[in-house]
Amino acid sequence: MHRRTLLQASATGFLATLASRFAHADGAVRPTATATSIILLWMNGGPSHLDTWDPKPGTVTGGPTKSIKTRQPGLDIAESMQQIADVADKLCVIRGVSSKEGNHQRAQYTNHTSYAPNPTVLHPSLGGWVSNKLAAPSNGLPAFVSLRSPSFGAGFLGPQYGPFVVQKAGVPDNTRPQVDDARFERRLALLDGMESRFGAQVGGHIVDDRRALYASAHKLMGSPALAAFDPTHETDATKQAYGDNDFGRSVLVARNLVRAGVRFVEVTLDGWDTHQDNFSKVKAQLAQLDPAMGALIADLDASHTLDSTLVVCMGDFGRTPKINANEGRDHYPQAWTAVLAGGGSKPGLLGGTDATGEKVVGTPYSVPDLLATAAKTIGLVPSEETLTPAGRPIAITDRGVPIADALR
Amino acid sequence: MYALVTATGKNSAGGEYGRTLAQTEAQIASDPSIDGAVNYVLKYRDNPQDMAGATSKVFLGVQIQCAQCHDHKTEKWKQADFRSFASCFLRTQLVPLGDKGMKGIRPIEVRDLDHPAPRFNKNADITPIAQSTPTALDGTQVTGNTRQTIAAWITKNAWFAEEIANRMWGHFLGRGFTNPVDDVRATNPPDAPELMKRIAKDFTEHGSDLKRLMRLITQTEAYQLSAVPRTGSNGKEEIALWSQFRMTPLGPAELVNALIAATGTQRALEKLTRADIDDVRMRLTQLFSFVFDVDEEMDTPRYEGTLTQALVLLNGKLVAGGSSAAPLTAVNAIAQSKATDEQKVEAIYLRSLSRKPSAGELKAALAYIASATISPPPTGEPAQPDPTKKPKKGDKPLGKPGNLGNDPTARIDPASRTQDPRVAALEDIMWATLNSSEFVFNH
Repeated sequence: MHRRTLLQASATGFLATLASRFAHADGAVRPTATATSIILLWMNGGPSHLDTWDPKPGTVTGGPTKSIKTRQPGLDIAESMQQIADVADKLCVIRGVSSKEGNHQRAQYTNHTSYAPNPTVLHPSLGGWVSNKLAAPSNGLPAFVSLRSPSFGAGFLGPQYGPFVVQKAGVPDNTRPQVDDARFERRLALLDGMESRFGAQVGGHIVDDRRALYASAHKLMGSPALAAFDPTHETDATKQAYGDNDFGRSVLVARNLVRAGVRFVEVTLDGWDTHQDNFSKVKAQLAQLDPAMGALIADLDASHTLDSTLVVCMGDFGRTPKINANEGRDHYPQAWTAVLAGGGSKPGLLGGTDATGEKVVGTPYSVPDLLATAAKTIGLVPSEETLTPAGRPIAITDRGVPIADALR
Repeated sequence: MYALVTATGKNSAGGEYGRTLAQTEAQIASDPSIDGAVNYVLKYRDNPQDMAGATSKVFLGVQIQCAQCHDHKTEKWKQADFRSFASCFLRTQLVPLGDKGMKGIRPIEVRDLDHPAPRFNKNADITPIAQSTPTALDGTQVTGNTRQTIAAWITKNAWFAEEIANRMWGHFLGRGFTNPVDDVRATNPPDAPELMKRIAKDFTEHGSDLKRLMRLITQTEAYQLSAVPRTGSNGKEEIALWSQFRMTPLGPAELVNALIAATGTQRALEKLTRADIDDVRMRLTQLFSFVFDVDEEMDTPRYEGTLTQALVLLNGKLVAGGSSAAPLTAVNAIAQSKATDEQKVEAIYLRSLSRKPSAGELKAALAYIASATISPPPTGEPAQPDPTKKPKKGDKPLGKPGNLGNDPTARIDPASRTQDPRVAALEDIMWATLNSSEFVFNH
């Protein structure tokens, strides 16, 4: 008998009951939702807005970066973003984002949680909230997956709502037994007997909870949906389109995970901290981002899943318009760009910066508002409060209000 | 807490904290064994206000950081108190010494100044703190080397001893005298305050000896109680505080040590990695810390674990390799011995659960051995990475905080190679005990 059949057979009884108890999130799709999943393309280190989404060609601060026209009239982006330019009519580009945190650690925390770090409470990331409030898919995949980075966990909600972390595109570590399938099943039966005796002896919920977790892990191991993590089955054309590198493959995996029902997938592209050689480094970064993001949006659109999938592309902060002595740009939270696509977002260009890229023109957009917008698309109420174990109410976002102009 | 516990390995008590703050040379290193305690200072180089909050919380049980942004009507500490206290932490400069050494580690010297460090000059969040006079929480002015002076004030303060007693009690008993352990105030008074004060007094009187404190707590009746619920005279389960032992999952370091000890893989690991076992333990603990990092302060009667944790124990190499009858493992020695099956099962239980099996467990295990048959050879997917495939340059492990270092289990062969069904059955029993709740919980 094949392992999967075996695993499924045993998962139907007692273990399945436990597994469903473990997945006790309170609902599948919220009635107000316009998206069923979110993909966050996290640009770790803080991408230079001036050399990506908000170029200033021909100015001193713009440096050598040239711009190109896109399929969205009025939106010009950096020249190394041709594939993104070709799908730009799907994008909601928010140029006037402004934040306060210029330190990587603090900015990453804030841009994932909407809150400034505070030693009294560990705030959940948006992925953590999604995982806590919405059900995981019934095929055994987790609700929240992070590829290429540990991302940020679910804070006070508990580690079980944090991301399932996968270091690189491919079948996740330790999802295959180290002995053959029949023997693995016998081992589990042996373990089950021990757990049942010990659980009866000590009482309480702890052993039951742990057995439920093991049942979920067992279900994941046997799930045909696990194949979503493995990009090797894709056609060469698809693999080429996303880019022959781990980021491209991981974005392809993100597409598959979303199709398989995963609610929040984060894919990290590190390397944006360009204090030196900003221009050549950004080009190399875009060589990875451009095909992956361009292919993702085109692909989701072609398969009619763009409407139900919100894609977010953002990082720590922007970078200084002033080019430093090392041809680099430094941290600059005062003005940067975030991009949304699909999932009920409205294509267009919001906000902007002045001719030098230093100052936001008009009212700046805040990180809590940005995350509130994303939360709203998936049906969460940004102001909804949950009590921490210490009894303190914490809202999903820090007084964030969805950006009306960014939503359909 | 973790740093405190590891520090007791050296038992550098009598103000480990004082030493932490006062130490002037350190290395920024990914290696926690080098000096985790000193990195505490470096961690907050740009956010001294957070260092003030963390210090007051961790070492005094005072949540002064609640007053960081504004006053609270019902609480004692005001914003001015926070600023004067935080002002003690601004006067350090971090000076890199020389070039990056091995593994990119650069030594850093922490220099004390007699004025707030210039790097905070333009920081609007710090300005009101820098303008406050450095003051301890009881109003004592902090002069001279503010870092050393505040460290000395903290370790001599009665709150320090009480907080350490509270924290250590919470660590061993699953819940401290206050809940959470680092929040002691009029509106959150401790349970059994006399006991807390008595333990604190003993700690102070014996030169802040952490080892003695641990011995004291582990010798109490409360610590030695069973995790089995007790039935009161009314026939209902007693649920009073500390009336039964509260089960908590082992932390990453404890789990690594327990797995190595139970499987007897110390020598095997040394041989495989060609490294000292302490080095292997450290690297394993780093890896496990990423996966098994549990928030010790979570106070919940539920178990909160992750899929990754379950998968590491179900299919990870440390458990799989450690439970295989490969040379140098405990289960191999047991399987090869001349003992009876009954004695072999007992030996496995003693190794991993530190007790003999009950009559029922023994019966179940013997039946398992008796029914053992050889399994067909492993099917399909390879369990190991292809050795002919060299990792590409871009295939680096996770960046932050995941510079996980090299995995010392990478060279462990997790496969069970035995052709003897009875040996395989013993491997299975060992594997099941290592995956059991009884093994992974402190109970």
